[in-house]
Amino acid sequence: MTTRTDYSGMTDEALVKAAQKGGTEAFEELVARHRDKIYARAFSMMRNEDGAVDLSQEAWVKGWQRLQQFQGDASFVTWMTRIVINLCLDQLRKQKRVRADSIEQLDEELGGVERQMPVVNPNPTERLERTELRQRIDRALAQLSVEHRTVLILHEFEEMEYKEIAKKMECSIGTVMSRLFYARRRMASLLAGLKREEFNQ
Amino acid sequence: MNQEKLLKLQAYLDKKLPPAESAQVARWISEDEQARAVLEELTATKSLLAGNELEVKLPEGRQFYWSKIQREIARLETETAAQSSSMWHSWWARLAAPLAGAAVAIAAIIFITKPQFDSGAVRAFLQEIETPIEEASAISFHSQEAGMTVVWIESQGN
Repeated sequence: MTTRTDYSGMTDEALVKAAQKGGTEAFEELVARHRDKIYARAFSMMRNEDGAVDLSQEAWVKGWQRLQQFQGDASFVTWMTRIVINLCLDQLRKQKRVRADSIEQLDEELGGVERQMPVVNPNPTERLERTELRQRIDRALAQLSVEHRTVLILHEFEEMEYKEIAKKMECSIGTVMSRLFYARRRMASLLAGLKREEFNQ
Repeated sequence: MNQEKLLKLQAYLDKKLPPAESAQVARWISEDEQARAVLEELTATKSLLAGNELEVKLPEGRQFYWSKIQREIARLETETAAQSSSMWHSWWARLAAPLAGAAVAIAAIIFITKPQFDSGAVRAFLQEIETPIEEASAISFHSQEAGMTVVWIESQGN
């Protein structure tokens, strides 16, 4: 009689080792554990449900193919997140080639618009339920251009250094700093604006 | 305030400046109200974002989501196995053809040059066929048109 392994009780490290030996059931458990996080990162970058599902699944397939290269320097979920980020960036680059940049986007790229933006207070001390605050932030993020949203996500949520972001986005560190600065100022303005809109309703 | 100064403020916030430059920026902020206001806005935005990313759930069930991944993994593994098998075959074919040629050439050289094959015996065998009967002569006639060859063997004793 064969005994069925209980994968749900195993750590990520043990599951990775089992999957590296060819165990797809162990890999399935890793997918089940981290699928929401990997999908969420793809969604935050692509802002498209179907596209995010496809890219997150592609990331898992790539993860399986490269599993032997995983050394455990970072956690498994961090490693997987880097894979899905790279896939999203590739996809965004492909989309950019067929998308004509607007004049506003070009201004943002060149820098300067943010200098004319008035300083606002996004009011971080306002008592909001965490879910509501998160929803506001998400709505504001959705209004940023792809480039600004990406830089902000990579820096604020993934805690990447300017240099690493520049490498991933194939641009200079100066461009990263400029985009990040604009994105932060625009977020401040959008969050203050969202607050005003809600008061007016 | 120019772009360079604004980006320096941001680098100060993100702790990316060397200590000496950081102290210089801190002095500038304490003296410049506008710089202070921009820094406060940047700091507030950074604090708001920290740990406040919306939690999004995958819109598909576990089995349905996994089944597509599983199918793709299986497809790629079959493809990889087929590729490596075909690569092995083509590698073997590339290696086998010159090897076979070389083997034939070596065999031919050995056959021609090696005396222990007793080439005399071979020659004798051929002679026997040429002249099966001593003191006999042969005349041959060949017609291309008729596609025919006739050989007369005549015993000189008769």
